[in-house]
Amino acid sequence: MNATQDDKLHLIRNDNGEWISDEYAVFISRLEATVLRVYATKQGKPLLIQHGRDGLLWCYKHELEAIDLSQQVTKTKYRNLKVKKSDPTYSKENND
Amino acid sequence: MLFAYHRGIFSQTAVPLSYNNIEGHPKQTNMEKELSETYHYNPADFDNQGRRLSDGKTLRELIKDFEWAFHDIHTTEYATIFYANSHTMTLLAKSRDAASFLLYGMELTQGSSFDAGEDPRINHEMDKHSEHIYVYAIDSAFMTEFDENGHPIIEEDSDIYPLTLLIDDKMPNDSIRLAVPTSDDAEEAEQIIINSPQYVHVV
Repeated sequence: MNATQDDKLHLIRNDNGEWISDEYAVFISRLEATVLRVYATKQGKPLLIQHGRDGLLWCYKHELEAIDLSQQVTKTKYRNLKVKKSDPTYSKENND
Repeated sequence: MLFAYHRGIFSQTAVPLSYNNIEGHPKQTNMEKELSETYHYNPADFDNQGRRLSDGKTLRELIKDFEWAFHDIHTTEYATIFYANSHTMTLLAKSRDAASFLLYGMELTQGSSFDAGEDPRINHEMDKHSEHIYVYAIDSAFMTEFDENGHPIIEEDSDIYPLTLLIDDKMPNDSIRLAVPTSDDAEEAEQIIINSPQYVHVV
């Protein structure tokens, strides 16, 4: 049986020096990597960004698919802290 | 064809890397055409994370020593094939802190030696239907220089290739075997390299 184009095995190296089939890799841009990191962090999902040759980035397909990209990433809401100016003349003794 | 496998699948010129299985090329087996050495270790010396209890040395580091020893014996050769049973392969994965979804090693499908034509093809099919991702190879001990992206720098005409992982469950727990295809295949390999497909970046 001859191998068809789809059957051919292409290997890609991950950052841990392991060579796997490239079918499990999705190449992404730096911007996509940044956005995906945010989504993954917000959703508590793992996302290992890998470094390919010539600066190309990729991630595992199953990790990418586990991230819900339809969810809107909301801005972190910071609590408004009310700062009360302290009275320098205040002391326990005065208060007593 | 074993040389062809290594030169093709681990090509330094393309991303993704190409597999040498050229359409129409006759399949051949290479069961006996390899130079091999067997090494022993004591699994009881290692914890379940692949660290040696006495000094913390990892199983991977020990295997690197074996790769160097192999090169010391066969001074013009570098081991490119690693045989071990499932237990050792799992311990090796642990020792390299492999992700839990990765499964180290190809199954031998044509006997007790690597068949560069059939084994990758059949394991690739198994890989597609597995819950895990197969790790076909790991960096060689001789890959010591890396570029700015962390990729090993390998001279095109060197004989240093990633270490192909093969599971041989007939092997005892304390043994590993390192091998390199013999030069008998070199002429055929050159022919396949010339015909190997070229890849270009499409990003």
